[in-house]
Amino acid sequence: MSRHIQELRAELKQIRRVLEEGTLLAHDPELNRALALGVDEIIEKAESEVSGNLLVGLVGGTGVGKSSLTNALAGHPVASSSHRRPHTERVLLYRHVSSVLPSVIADRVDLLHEITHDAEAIAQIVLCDLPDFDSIVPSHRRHVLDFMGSLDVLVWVVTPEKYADGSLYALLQEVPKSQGNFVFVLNKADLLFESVPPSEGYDRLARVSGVFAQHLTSHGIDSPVIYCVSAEQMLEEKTAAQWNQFPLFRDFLFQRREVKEIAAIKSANLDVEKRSLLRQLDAEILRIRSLVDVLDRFVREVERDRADWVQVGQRAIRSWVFGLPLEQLASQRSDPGQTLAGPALLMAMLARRFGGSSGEGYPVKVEVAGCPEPIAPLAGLRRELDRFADRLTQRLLQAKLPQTLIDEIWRDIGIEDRWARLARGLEETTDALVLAMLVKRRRGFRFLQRIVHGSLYGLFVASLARGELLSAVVQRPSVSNLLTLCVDLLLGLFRATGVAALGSLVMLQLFLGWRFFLRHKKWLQHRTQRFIETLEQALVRVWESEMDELLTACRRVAAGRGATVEQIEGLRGAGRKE
Amino acid sequence: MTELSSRPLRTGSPKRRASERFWDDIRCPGLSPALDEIVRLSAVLPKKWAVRAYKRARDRAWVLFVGGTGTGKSTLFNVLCGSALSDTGVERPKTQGPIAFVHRDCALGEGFPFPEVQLRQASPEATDRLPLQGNPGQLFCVHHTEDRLVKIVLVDTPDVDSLEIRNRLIVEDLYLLADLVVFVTSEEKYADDIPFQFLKRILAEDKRCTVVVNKSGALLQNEDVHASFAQQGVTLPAHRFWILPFAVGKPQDCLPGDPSFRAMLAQLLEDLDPSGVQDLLRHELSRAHRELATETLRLVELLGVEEAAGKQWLEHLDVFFRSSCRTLLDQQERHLTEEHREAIQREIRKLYSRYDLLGGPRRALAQLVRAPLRALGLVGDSKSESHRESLLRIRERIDLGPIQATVDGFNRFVLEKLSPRTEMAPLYQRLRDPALALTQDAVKEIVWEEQERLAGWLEATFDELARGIPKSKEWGIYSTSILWGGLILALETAIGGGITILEAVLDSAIAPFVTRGAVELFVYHELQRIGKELGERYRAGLLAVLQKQRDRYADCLESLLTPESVLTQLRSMGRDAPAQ
Repeated sequence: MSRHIQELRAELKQIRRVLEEGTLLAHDPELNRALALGVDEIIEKAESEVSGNLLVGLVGGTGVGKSSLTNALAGHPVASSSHRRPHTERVLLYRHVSSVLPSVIADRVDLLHEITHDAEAIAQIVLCDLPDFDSIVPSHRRHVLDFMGSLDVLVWVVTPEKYADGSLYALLQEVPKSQGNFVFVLNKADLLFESVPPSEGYDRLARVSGVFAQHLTSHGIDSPVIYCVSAEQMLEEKTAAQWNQFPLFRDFLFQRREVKEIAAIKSANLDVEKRSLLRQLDAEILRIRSLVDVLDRFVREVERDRADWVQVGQRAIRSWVFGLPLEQLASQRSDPGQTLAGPALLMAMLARRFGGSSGEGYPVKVEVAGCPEPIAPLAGLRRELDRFADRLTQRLLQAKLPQTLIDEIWRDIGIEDRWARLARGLEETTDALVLAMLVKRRRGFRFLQRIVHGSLYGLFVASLARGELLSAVVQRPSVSNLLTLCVDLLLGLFRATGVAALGSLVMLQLFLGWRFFLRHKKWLQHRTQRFIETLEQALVRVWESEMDELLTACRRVAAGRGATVEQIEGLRGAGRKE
Repeated sequence: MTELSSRPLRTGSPKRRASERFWDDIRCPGLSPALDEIVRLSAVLPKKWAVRAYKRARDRAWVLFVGGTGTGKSTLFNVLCGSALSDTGVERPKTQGPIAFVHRDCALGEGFPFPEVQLRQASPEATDRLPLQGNPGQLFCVHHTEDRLVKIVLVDTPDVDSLEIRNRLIVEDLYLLADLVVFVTSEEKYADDIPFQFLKRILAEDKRCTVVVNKSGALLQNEDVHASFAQQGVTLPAHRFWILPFAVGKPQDCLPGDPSFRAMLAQLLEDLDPSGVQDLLRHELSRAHRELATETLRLVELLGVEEAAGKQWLEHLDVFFRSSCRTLLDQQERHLTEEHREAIQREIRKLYSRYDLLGGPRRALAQLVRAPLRALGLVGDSKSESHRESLLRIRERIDLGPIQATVDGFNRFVLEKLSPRTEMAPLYQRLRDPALALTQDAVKEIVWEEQERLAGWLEATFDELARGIPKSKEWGIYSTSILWGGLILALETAIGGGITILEAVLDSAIAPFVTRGAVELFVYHELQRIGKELGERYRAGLLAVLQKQRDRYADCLESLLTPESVLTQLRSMGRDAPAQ
């Protein structure tokens, strides 16, 4: 196999792999399938043994004389021709007995009519007389198009009447074959010489072939090779008139070609076929480029508005956190006994009892992800995510991208799952921070309370006891003196002064206890406030990171698509002639 | 001798005359499958109407030679005209533009229905310029003085099937003028698809037509051609079908001797004699009238289908618009209730406080009682705020988020669900105009504007209140206070049998609260009234953004519908065609 064919095969297999991956055309499986089939066909042709046969097809409109040309080339009548139009319906194959047809043709028995010969000199050539492509019978054109794929050399047959017909030039540009394998034949040239002097005949011939060549050039055929022939003149007179280039044409067609040359002809056609196939991707490539552009611009837009959506997040989170029973959580987590003592502790217990708290041991759980509808303050976050999706979809639709492609992008970016992920993230972060909320023991504070209350008790005792008894105990500490002091203290409780002192003690203790309790509450509030701030910051970070991930996903999708397009463009671009 | 005049008879005028400009107003959004047919009809009908008007004003039969390139149209045309007017030759395509053979006295120029075609004149004596190839965009008129052909315009046209697309377009236009078509094909081309489709159309439209198969060999028979066409479902007119032989040598010399040609010519001359011409004209006029009436009313019908589709589209738009409004209001209603009510309540109370007879003493009393409690930290300071400040505060706290989100959702819905699927539909293109959807900044601006308007209204309302409440209300407050005070005294007197000093002291302490109660009653009513109106205005302001966006889409669709006046005109043209 030639190097060129090997390279071509490798390129095609690469294209096949890209198509198999399915990412480029996931939204248009039909096109993907059609292209894959087309690529497979070309690969098959490239891999099939170069049989040494050259398939030459006579292509032309109805009435141009393809069948007469076939007969003239064969040297005897093989194809049926008629003045009735259109005539040829099936493809006539004129081949050597030993030549093997490619399976894709051999299978089309319905389309073919074979005639074999044993002329060794032209064993290489399989001559194909095709139906017309421009008559009122649509199936003829279909047969021609079906069969074209198998031909190696195309002989385009025209007449002095039909060489400017639009349908010829339309087909010329449609056929994915290499121009180098096109030959043009102006048949019925004898009509130009009828009833006029030869000089005028030659003049007409020159003008016709000149204008014909001009038309071909203006339709992209560089330096067309044109033979001016008359098949009928050959058939009738057996020798060519001076102006009849039929012998030249025949020699050109039937020349002995090296295997290398035949391979070059075939691979040139495969090249053009490959490029023609890839041109189907042109529209797709434009679409993908447009998609990448939209995604890039959208990501930039969202980045530009970062301050806004962060603020929205902050607001929503603040509002939500505000609604959380954090103080309740804090007070549940804290044991008043750790920080309070005496009357303050009593007040705290009373507050708890009558304050309506649930008194459950375990902290209240924060529910976000499990809720069917987002809790009111967090609706703002959900809305922001929805807005992201809405705006992106809007941009994609404005760029005229098909809905199937847009759905695919959504799946790749994973927009649907984002809210669930965000909700889970918020819940987990909150739970983690709440659990970590340690309440310090305020030993110093408790100690202070004990000191203060103890001092008050001391003062009380001092006020109750008589001075001489106290000094007696201090100077001569003995059990009897102590007992005397205690009895005196007890008796003192029932005196008027004792009652007053007791009253003062109670009022002062309560008052101080109240002040301690208030201070403790304030301290708790302060701590809760700090915790709220920490929690808010953490949650805003969760929100920001979720949005950043979304943007990263967009960038990733854009980069991925861009890369695939570059790949395809690279395959197409190598050695392409425009 | 006259030469080819370089001064055109008729300069290229604007594409349409003023009376025909209404054709430009025919539009449709492309919401139904009728789009393609509407486009086709609105392109071809103005031409057909112009042709009709032109032909009704003239008594001329147009005979057109139409066919594929290389079939020998120009050769036949020359033979019929008696001289080589239209250039023939081996180059293809040859004829580049239409060439008319017309009597000198026949003025074709006035009101010519194709403004983009220049009419140029020539005389057959100016042989240095003949034969003509013709020019696209020009109709060459070669003048003659044969009186028997005074009512006839013979025209050679370019081809319908060459690679020169322009040629086909010229033929499509001029074909509308034809009263009789001489369709020329050849032995090689009679089964070619493109010319065949043209012939099929001529026969389907019931135009008078003569079919000529030119340049035939000896073998070709009528049956061959008829059979070939019959297979495709087309019946050729048997008595208007001619096969002419391939003229070896000069056709002008050879053809006249051919029997088929002579028969064809005889038929043609019969067609073109005075009664024949009248018959042709009558046939074509009535055919054209039928066609015009049918097609014009068909266009109206299709535009009606588009209009109905447009109405349905607007309904869908409004359904979603209303549901979006509801969602937005549900979200924002709370905001209004909480924030604004507080501020208004405060404001109204402040304004009404002057009608509280014992307000002063009460406030002093309250201050007195609160002072020690404030010192102990049991009661907080109450802040006072001007109403302007409070309104500003409310505005700053307006969350644009829900509004933006609703607008974005609305825009997405329109593009996703209400846009036509095909790119060719005009509405598809217009809906994707980036300027159609409101930007974030535009939304903000509209909301701010509405808030300003609201604040202005509130200011005006408070100013009005500050100027003074109606006398009736004022006296109402006073009388309520006095009445309640009197009631309490009466009760005390009746139950207690008189008023003691202690009771008097207590009463004087209670009295300020009684007057306050009376004021509160009236405050409540005022609050209700203002609150209700504020609520309505706020809601309207909130929805102003969505309304604006919805209106933009509705206007977009409206601009793509054909105005009713045009439809009415078309309807009357379709119904009253003969009377015009």
